[in-house]
Amino acid sequence: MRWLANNWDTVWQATLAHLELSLPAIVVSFLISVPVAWLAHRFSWSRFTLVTLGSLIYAIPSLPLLIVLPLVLGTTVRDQINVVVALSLYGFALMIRAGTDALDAVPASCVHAALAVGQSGPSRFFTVELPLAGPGLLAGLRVVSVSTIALVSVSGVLGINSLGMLFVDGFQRGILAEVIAGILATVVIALAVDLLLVLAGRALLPWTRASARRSR
Amino acid sequence: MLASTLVVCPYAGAMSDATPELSREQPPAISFERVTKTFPDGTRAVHELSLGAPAGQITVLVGLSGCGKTTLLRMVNRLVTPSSGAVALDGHDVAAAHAVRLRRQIGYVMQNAGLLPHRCVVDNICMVPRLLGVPARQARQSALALMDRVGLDRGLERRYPAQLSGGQQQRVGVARALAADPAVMLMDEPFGAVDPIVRADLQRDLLRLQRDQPRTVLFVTHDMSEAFALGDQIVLLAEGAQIVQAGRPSDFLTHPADEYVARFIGLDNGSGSLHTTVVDGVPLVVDANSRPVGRLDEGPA
Amino acid sequence: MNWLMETLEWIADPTHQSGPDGLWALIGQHLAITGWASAASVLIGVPLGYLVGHTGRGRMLVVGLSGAARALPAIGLLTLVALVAGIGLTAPLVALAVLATPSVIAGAYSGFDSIEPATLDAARAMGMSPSQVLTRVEIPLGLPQLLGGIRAAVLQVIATATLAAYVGAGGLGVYLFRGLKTQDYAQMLASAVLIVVLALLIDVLFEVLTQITVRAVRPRL
Repeated sequence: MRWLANNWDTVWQATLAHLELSLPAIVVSFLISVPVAWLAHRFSWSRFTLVTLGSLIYAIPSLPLLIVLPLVLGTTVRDQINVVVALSLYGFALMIRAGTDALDAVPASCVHAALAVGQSGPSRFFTVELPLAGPGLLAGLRVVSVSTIALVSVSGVLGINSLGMLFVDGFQRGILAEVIAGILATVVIALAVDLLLVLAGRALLPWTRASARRSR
Repeated sequence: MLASTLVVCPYAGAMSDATPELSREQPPAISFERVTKTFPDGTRAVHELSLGAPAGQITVLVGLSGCGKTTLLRMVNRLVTPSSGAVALDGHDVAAAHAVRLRRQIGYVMQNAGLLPHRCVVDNICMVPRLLGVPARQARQSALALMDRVGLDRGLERRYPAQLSGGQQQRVGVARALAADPAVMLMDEPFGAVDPIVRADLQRDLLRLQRDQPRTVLFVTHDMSEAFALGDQIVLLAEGAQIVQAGRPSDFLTHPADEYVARFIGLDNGSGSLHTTVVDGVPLVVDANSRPVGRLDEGPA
Repeated sequence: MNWLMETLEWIADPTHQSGPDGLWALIGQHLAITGWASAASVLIGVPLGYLVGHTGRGRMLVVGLSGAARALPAIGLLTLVALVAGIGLTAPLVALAVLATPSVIAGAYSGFDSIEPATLDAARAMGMSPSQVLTRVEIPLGLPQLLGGIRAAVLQVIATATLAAYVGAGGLGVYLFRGLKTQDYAQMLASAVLIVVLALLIDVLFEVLTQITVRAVRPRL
């Protein structure tokens, strides 16, 4: 507690840096994976390839990926872009399966009904399929956000500023409180972002609340 | 140390002694004595019901879904324990029986067959005999013979349930229930999920099996025409397993207990009214369009 | 592609292959750490997951636990245990087992949870004793999901075992941190490439295993 009181600013700065890396990655992975999930959902030939690609990416250990990526991107190991891209890749890998499943779960009758009233392509996707896949997409996004926020820390061993620095510094200098503070801060912001996502889900998907209440 | 290991649970021994040895030659009568079932959530599915199912006959419990008929059925093989009252087979209280041993003596067919998805047809049918220790070869031979009897092609023996049609799955379910040659059969809407033509076939086959070797059958359905087609006895239940009327099929047509019964079986409805007629010397129940919906074993009383 | 050649040359260099911090020794260490931590998580996770799946109690606990575990930063947990238990194998083994166990619990639990209630009902109604229902129905039918959970756990462990070198416990991460310190990019890359290949090989192994099991347990049309 003493350490935390004296180093409040350090923790705060590390938390902000942590969010700066994780939030863009969460957003990017969501924006990329939804259209790709739609491809996998819509065209069965692409499904196996895309879902396998997702699980292959997920099997790549994070630290090695952070080392290899700069060669592909032309950045350096300590570049923020490097970390954001790596995290987005993992987010994408997690999200692609959840997104495909969510789109698959949209009842065919709803899609047919939309077809029957004459809705076509894009308008049908945005007004029928996307909202109905919403709960599944949200569930996937929540997993992505929590694991991304936890994963950022590993970049600390490469010297990139985030809550991970607290672990590296705390370990090297033998300050247990610093490490514990880092873990707690990670869990707190993971929960906070998760809560925001849940609230956003309630606002954007009001009908899911009604059915949840009724079924209880 | 040694002394304590010698005390081999006397309770278990006492329980297994009380399990009735049911005999196929003399199937037992089933009796419900003032049974009540209140579920933990407070739902009272059955209240103070007394009922007898005669030995060697088909007793059909019919009623709308949620009326407690399945709960009654499941009391017989102790899948449900009554909150009060007792269920007896020829006077032996099933509560005193060893549940697992009891169930192996009672055939059970359920809606959607409830087959083990990871076992092939013949292994599903052999399940109870194998549990009872019948050697694999012998169990398989009996299973193949049973497949003939329930109208399943022997070529299907290595198929898995997911590879069968609904009607075939249901036949496997019936064969599985018959495999240990039980004296009692419990059938819970066994033909509810198959299409009408297949259902008629299955009903006919059940009656044939019953004619060859009578068992005490308790059959649950929500379909009155199925009750007429199969039942020696029909018990019409209302919510909370209240008996509205019980008796032979003919009684329902000639003496419906009240308006509810008459409406339930379609007697009051001009277009769908049921009546009896005799075709080729067989008394039949037919609807307004003269389509037979069932056969009467006794003439109208 | 120059870097790839350099990396492969580094790996192929005979002087990097033998000795106490040679390639084969470190691959062995990496696999040993992965094996022990995974084994511990399976030993703890499978009984717990089966208990929850079989009784249906503690569902919320499992969901909460696997959610919370996902929020735990691996490097944080590792340094925490290392500060308490000291440098050596204890820290990575404990930390990795803690990280991997929720996946195993979730796999074991969801395998049981995915079984049709009617199937279990039928098994009981046919006269299977509770232990027979467990060993002949629940465990075989739940096997694919359990394997999925163990696969996720092992992959996470093999990836995170890279960090073991950070607390002096060896494994392929040794090259990575050494290369990082000396700015020897070929050495860092060699470590990265080897770990990725190892992880993908294990993943393929599990894929084969899963296919065999699924075919045996859940026959398709």
